[in-house]
Amino acid sequence: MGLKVVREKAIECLKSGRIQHETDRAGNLDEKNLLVTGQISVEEVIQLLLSTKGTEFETSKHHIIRGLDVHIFRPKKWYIKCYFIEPDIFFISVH
Amino acid sequence: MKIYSEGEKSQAVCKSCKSKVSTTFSICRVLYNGGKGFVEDVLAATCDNCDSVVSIPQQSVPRIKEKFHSKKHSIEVRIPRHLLDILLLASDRFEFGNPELLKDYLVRYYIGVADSDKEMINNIKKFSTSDFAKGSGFRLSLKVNDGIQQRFIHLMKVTSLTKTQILRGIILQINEDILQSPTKKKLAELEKVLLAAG
Repeated sequence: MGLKVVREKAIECLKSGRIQHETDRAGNLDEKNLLVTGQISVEEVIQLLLSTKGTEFETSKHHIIRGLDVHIFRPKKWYIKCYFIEPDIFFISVH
Repeated sequence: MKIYSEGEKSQAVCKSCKSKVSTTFSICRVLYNGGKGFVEDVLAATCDNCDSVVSIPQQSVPRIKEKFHSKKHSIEVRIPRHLLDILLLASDRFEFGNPELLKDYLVRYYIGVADSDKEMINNIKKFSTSDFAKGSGFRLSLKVNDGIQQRFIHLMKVTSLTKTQILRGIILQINEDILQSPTKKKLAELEKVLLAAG
């Protein structure tokens, strides 16, 4: 999936509240995920995704689950890492 | 907005099981900072195989945010005893409970609304320098959140008054609104505020 499709899907999840945040290996919440700590809002993340250019987006494979695509957006010095497990979006990092 | 409920099923990646697993939402204690900090009573998804907390839904963010960012500030001033009595009398007028607690809600509310009320700002300036405001026999300590603290600092800037002068002015505004010249409209407004706060 390219930027346009991933972004559209991500924004759809964000707007509908189908959002989960991955915990770390020990089951702790990750403080680098500023969306789960409430330091950035869902609306602000949507704006960051909308401002992401093609050169600021990449997709890689999940390090544990084969076949699971992990998407990275790097707009305006932000780092947003997420994947989808239908019907939800899972955030790994937002910082 | 999707709201997950306790017992609802979902899926997630479990790093302990190293696979995509079925999960169940339940109320958990969620740890952070390497287990040094924790937030109680958070709805989170646990792995159906190993019971690890594997994900946290967005709806749990306000509870987490409260833990991370609920900084309390303290505004401490010295006022004459009769100003404290005004606060307690004004709070007691609504008969919703402990006037000692209600007085803090009342002052916080006035700080919140004074910020955008030019007439009240002028009154605070006038009252704060009156003879009736003088004296310093009693210490008033008020705990406020970030929002009220910011408004209070803004009030200090726009009035060029000290924190003590502002609080004295606010208390005398409360005196006018509730004890000296109360209107039905004002009392009804304050009654709603204190009812919700208390």
